[in-house]
Amino acid sequence: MQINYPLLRRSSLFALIASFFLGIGLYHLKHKVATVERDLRHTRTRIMEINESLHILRAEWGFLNNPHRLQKLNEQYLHLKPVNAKQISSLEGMNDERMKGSKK
Amino acid sequence: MYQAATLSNPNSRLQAFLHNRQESSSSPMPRFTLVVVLFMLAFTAIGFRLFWVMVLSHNPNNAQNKSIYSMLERADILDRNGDVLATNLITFSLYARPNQLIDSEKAAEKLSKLFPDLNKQVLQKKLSSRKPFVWLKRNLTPRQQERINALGLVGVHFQKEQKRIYPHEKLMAHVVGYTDVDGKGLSGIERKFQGTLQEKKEPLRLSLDLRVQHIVRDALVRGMQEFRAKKASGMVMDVNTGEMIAMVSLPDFDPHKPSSGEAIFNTNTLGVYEMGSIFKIFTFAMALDSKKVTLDQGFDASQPLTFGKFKIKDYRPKNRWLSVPEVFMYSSNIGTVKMAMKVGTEGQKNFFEKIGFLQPLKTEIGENGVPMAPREWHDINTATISYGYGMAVSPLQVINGVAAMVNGGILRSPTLLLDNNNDREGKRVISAATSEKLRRLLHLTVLHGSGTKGNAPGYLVGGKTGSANKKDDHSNNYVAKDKHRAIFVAAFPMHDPKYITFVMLDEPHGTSQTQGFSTGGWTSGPITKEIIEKAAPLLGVLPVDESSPKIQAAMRLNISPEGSAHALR
Repeated sequence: MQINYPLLRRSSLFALIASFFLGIGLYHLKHKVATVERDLRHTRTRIMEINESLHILRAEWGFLNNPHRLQKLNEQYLHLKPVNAKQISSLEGMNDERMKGSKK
Repeated sequence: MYQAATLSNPNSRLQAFLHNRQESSSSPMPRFTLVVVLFMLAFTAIGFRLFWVMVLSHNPNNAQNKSIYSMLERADILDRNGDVLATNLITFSLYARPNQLIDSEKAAEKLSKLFPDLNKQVLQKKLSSRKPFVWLKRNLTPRQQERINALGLVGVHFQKEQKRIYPHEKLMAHVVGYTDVDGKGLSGIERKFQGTLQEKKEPLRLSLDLRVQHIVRDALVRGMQEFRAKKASGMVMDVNTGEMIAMVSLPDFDPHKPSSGEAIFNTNTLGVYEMGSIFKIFTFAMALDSKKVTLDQGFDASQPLTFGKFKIKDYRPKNRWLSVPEVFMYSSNIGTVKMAMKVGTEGQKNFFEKIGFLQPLKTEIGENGVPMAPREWHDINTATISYGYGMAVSPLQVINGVAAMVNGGILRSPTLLLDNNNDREGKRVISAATSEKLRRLLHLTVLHGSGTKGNAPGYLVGGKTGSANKKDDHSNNYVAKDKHRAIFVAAFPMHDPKYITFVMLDEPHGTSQTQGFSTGGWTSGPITKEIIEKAAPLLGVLPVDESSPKIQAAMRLNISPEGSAHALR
């Protein structure tokens, strides 16, 4: 029996072994990609969920910040008054001649 | 040798077959090559396709990577600071499939216990009906949904829905508008930007300021109560960009359940009214800009004017010669008519054409009133229009027109969108020098004239009062004197105007505090003062020392009769 089949030539043998290892490698890669993609999908769903709650929270924040409500709360607990123009001064005003005069 | 090798394999029928075929054909190699080449081509094609799919057309942003806004049916509407004015909330609605229910009576009892607003009989009728599908309750809160789940009923289900929410309820109702159950915009910004809100999915930013809007509404609500007025409207506008900061029209409505009727009507944009003495600002602008009248001149206001059978009198006559600044600060009709007559009918018509009072405004909320002007413009029309009768425009046109009078003379289209005015350049309607004179006149009126109640010291306010008699809707005659619209237009700070306010009360009544007066200065004046004092710090307008020499010089105006050197500020 002759063993000089073309299939078992050295290059064919090399191809066979290479394809075997490449197959294993590819399987691993595919598996890894599938895992990563699952993670990605999961993360994206989470982002979506968080965005959704953010959106709801923002609407709720809007409700809580209703100026009418804030004003009522202020009248009830804080008793803050609007700023009076006399309470605000500028540095320029400090330098005024009349201010200097009053210091003397 | 080749032949020997193939023949020597007795098991290989295929090779024998190939061998026979090769023997029978004239040239064996080309056929074999053809097969190889075909296969190579096929694999190359597959390779290219793989490369194409995996590398070239791979887009990490498609499909799964959607933003929250693309999920919502409709984009949010925000104010200029990013506060939410309208948004969509995902809610759950409860429905039942009656044929799946095991015990409809028990289910009805359990559900009616959870929701006192659902009648048990009605529920049971729905649940025992033969329909395949019945709504039980729309838009549940998450807590309600949880409770229903806890009941463990078979045959009741939830449907995810979106609901348009307006966190500030009435506050923005006229501008933002509202939508129907299916989320279609029916009025205001919601209607005008229907397409943009649904397609672009990006929040729409308005020029309105939530805080200032509240300040204006709050002041108007109390003013309306105090003076027992029928309606009230108020606006704040940036004089240099045309952006609306606040726009309130009372009575208003809740956009979650819009009523039909008067409350829906936005008086600021839709209503057109005779503005009374407010129009004197325009008459003065027109006369001073034409250079036919100067501030050193004066007019005899001691005698009423007669046009045929029509008599023009002053509301509170001084019965003497008045300088031009005095005509303005005491709001003399006689003096104003004489000034308008110097410019003439044609000049007046051109001026109002120029500032856009003869056409309806174009705004982003679509609904705009059509102004009323005389079809044929005679001298009598010129006379009455000069002090605000015989021509009706919308409050938005007035505030926009006065903004152009004080900002240096540039008229822009008003806008409700932030940083989006396509008329930012505007067009010049009066000279910068005339605008400067008007600023002095307006400040003088607030300091010593009819507008003292609107003065907010420190903010260098300038303004004009107006009290326009109302016409009877049926007879078209002017009704009793106590039925009028009280208006106050003010800008601040007058040496470099930043903002302008407009306040109008419909049929205000005097109180003991106003000594029975119900005119613009007495009723709309204090409201304006409150708005300016509360809003100016929020808008970043710093108070100035009004007695400083710099400000004194900027506001100086010689008002004394017969040009004696006495200057009064």
